[in-house]
Amino acid sequence: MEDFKQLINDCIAEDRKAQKKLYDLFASKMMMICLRYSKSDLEAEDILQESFIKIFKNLKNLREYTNVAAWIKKIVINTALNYQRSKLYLYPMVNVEHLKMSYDENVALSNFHLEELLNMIQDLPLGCQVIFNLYAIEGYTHKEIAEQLKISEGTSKSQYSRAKSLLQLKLLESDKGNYEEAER
Amino acid sequence: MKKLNDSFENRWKEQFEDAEATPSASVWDRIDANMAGSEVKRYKKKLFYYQITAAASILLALLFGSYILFNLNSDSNPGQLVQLPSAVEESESGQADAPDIFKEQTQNYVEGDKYQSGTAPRVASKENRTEIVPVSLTSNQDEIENELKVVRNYMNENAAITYHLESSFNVPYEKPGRKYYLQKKENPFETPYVMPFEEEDQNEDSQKLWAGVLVSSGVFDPNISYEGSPDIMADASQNTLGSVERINATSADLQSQSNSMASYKPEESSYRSEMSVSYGLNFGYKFSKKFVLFSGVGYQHNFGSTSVNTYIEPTESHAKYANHAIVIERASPESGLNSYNELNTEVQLNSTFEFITIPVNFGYYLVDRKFKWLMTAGVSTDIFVKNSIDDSQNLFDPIQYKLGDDSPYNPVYFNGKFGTMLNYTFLRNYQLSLEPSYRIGLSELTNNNAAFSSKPSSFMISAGIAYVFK
Repeated sequence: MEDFKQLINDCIAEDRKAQKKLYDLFASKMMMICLRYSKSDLEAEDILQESFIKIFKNLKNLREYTNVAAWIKKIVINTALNYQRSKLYLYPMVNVEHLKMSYDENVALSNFHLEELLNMIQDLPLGCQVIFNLYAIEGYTHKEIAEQLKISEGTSKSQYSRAKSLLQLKLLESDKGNYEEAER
Repeated sequence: MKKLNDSFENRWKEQFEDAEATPSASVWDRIDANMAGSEVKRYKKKLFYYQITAAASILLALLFGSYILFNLNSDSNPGQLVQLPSAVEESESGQADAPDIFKEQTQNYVEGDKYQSGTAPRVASKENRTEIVPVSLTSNQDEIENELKVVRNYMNENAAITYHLESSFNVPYEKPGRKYYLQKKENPFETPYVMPFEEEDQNEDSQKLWAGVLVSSGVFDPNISYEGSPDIMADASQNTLGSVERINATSADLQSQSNSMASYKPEESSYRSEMSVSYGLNFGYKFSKKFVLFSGVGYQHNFGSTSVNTYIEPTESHAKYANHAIVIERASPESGLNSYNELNTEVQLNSTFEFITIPVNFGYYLVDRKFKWLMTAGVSTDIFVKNSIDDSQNLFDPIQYKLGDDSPYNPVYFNGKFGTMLNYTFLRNYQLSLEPSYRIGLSELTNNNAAFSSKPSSFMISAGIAYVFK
């Protein structure tokens, strides 16, 4: 912990080696987040770059050393949302008709490679993709998402359920869309 | 946060919770370059701040110097422009009143032909001079770009180093005299981005010769000692004005002499040093790693004052001279007839010594970086130009000793000097300097004619700006 504190202090002092160390500590995890919120590796890397520049510039404002990881994650997600926001405005999110599909929800994700799952998320329409990430993976409520993205709660809900349906469809379409006995 | 009651979300969350993906190496390079870029911006901002400060200081020094120069020059002749025509008028009309301050001891003298003779108190017609010291304050904002060009060329010439630079980051790369911090640009095909990281010791080639202007101000003390100043003779037997009796009555130093000549001592009130200003051109030549030779040429105005209570009037010339040791040689012609008079108040005499000075100094570098600190020592040859003495009320005829006249001063005297100098290099080719120094006379300023002796000393603070040839 003391070492980590020292590392953060060195980063604040703009020690480039310390900054690289902090980057190395978090880059891979944060890259995955960026990928979930983007359509391509290039986009994700842009977001990652922007996030870390923000992190290094704002580290001096950080009061506590205990929650650096959560703080970094928050900055990455915010950066990703800002990055996608302009595109979200281009294709405004509206309530979408719920696809009345009643697939079994217990599709075993463990049969899929992470990359395949990621591709499924990336293939979602942008609005659905962002809301799926925020709701399902980050664990925000629809109310929080609505505030964050300045949309209505209803829009968030309908976008999410569309995302869910589309993902279930993709999982079933895939060869590996087997039912897992254990979970049934 | 919502309640995780839905296993669908949970399963996705599990999959991605600790998931990682390695970003390409270029991401860090871009972050690194961006951070370096903001450092460059800060560096530029800092540089700009220093430039502004430097320019402002120089300007202030110049303004202050010229203000002092102008002020003291005009103070030594207050109101002369106004008095000049009136003095002429008075002499033409022949009705001029003697200034109140003259309390004539010899009534018959006053009623004599003194003011009818058209020699009412004369006014010094010293010209007002304005010195313009040319100073270049041009700032070059492209300095960094030039720096980059130099390094790029250097790198292009050296393939091995180029490879090394392009393949690694955060490697301080040293060029003689300068350290660079290298960053790769986003586009890998472009020349690596280079920024000046830290200036190291300048090598001899990079800063060898510089030339510029210098303004100094301080205090010049001629250290006048009146010991052995000779008595002035007043011929009592031929003095029809009766002033000698007065002298006999008042002066303790007075000695009656057998041939009815009276002698009296010139006043010896102490000489007060006032502001001294000089300006000139100088150059520096760094002839070894640690030593530098300075020389140049400068012009000094050294102001001072003293006071006087009595004056004498050589009867032949109808002039009035302060009876003070620093002017008395001129005032008493060898076999002249003098009358001696008292003033009812003390009158201030202003004296200005002017010299052309040629210094030869050596500097030793204690610190030789962007900021430089030197100890300086040397000698200077001061060529006497003139010594002007007048009074603020224009009561007396102004005295001016010049070279070649029968002056009490040697044409040349020598000074020893030691000091310390701070230099700051900016915009690559410009250098500011600040040097407090003390000078002490190695030879006498006065010669045998003088009624006093002088071995001047001075303390000066010089500020200068120079162009560095690279």
